[in-house]
Amino acid sequence: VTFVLRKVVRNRWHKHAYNPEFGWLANGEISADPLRDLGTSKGVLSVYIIDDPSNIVTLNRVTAGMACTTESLSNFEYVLFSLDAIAQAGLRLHETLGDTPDSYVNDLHRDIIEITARKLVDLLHIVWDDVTPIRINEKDVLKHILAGVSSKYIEPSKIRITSTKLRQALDDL
Amino acid sequence: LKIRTGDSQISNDKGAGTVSPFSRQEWDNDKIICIYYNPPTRHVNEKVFADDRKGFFMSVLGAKTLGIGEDFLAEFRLESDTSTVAEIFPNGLEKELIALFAQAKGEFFENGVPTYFSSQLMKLVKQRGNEAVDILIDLIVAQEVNAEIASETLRWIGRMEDPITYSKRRLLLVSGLTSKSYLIRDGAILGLASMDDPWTMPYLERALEHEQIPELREDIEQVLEQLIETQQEYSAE
Repeated sequence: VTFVLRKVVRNRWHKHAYNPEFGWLANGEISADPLRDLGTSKGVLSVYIIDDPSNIVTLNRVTAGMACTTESLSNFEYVLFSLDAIAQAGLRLHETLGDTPDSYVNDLHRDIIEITARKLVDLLHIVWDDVTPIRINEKDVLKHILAGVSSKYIEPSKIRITSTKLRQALDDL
Repeated sequence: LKIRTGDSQISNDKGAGTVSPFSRQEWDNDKIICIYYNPPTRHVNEKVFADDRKGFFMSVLGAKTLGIGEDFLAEFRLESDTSTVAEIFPNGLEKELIALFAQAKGEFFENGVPTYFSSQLMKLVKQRGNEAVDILIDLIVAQEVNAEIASETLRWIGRMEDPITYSKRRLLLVSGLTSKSYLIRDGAILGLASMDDPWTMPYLERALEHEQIPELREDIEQVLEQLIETQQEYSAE
């Protein structure tokens, strides 16, 4: 089964059971908070295709590439959901190149297109039960970026992170 | 009697040296009334404390965060003597931080992406040093600021590169581990992961003993593993 990876903020994807602030939610209901991580622009949502989520090397490569596009070195959080969910929600994918410093990762980029409000909510409902947000700590993100640079997957000049920690680590390579 | 909320100890002008603006005798024989102003709702609230010193202190802490952009935060008086009044005023930096937290309520936080809030927060901490971190400790420990924003604060506090405030920031992060809010605890764990300081291990181990949320337990365990590795790296050097 092919999966789709979307960067999120993990706290918005908890199942609410231990958050008293969500006591008002009826059984089976989902708070609207995860929709903040599915923000579209012109009806388009950016995702990456993951053929085999058990392949940690690929997964680390994708998340490292994506992490390089932010300004600050930080933890990285994402969700994976089945590619089939996109079709189930009546949506479709369009192949477009990603904007990371790793060309392999860029090839895995897709846009979910022609998204309406209803279809986006449907997509969230379809994936919700099976989705588990995953967190990679900052230090591991740094390790994966450095591994990408060492293996020449990541072009250092294209890294947007402006952290002294990262710069020093790159100098030490 | 005017009290600056930046003062770590609130004492009365009779020199009792307690954190109450009233003497022990007044406490024992009277009720203390707290009147505080709530700017978002424009309501003036009143609360009576009788033999409830802890409640009173918490109210003093809580009152600090209510007066966004206002000079007056709260006044305390004895039920029997309306002339005995203690008023709480925020100091300038505290007002600035409270206003910053209030403005951040509509902001969209994303990992690794600075916002107006995080940029201003980092700027204030760098400019004002430990004084700013002390106020953050008060605001976040008293839990009167929005938990999501407090959590975001702790993430940036751990990530920040500023040796002058390092110890205080570390203290703020370990304080966050004991918060009642899981969002604040989560921010503290992330901040400590970024700081990568093995000195914090005993605090994380203690937090692990008390943590009930499975995801946060896993996070703490992961940070502890990371810190053991860091400790080994230091030893090897």
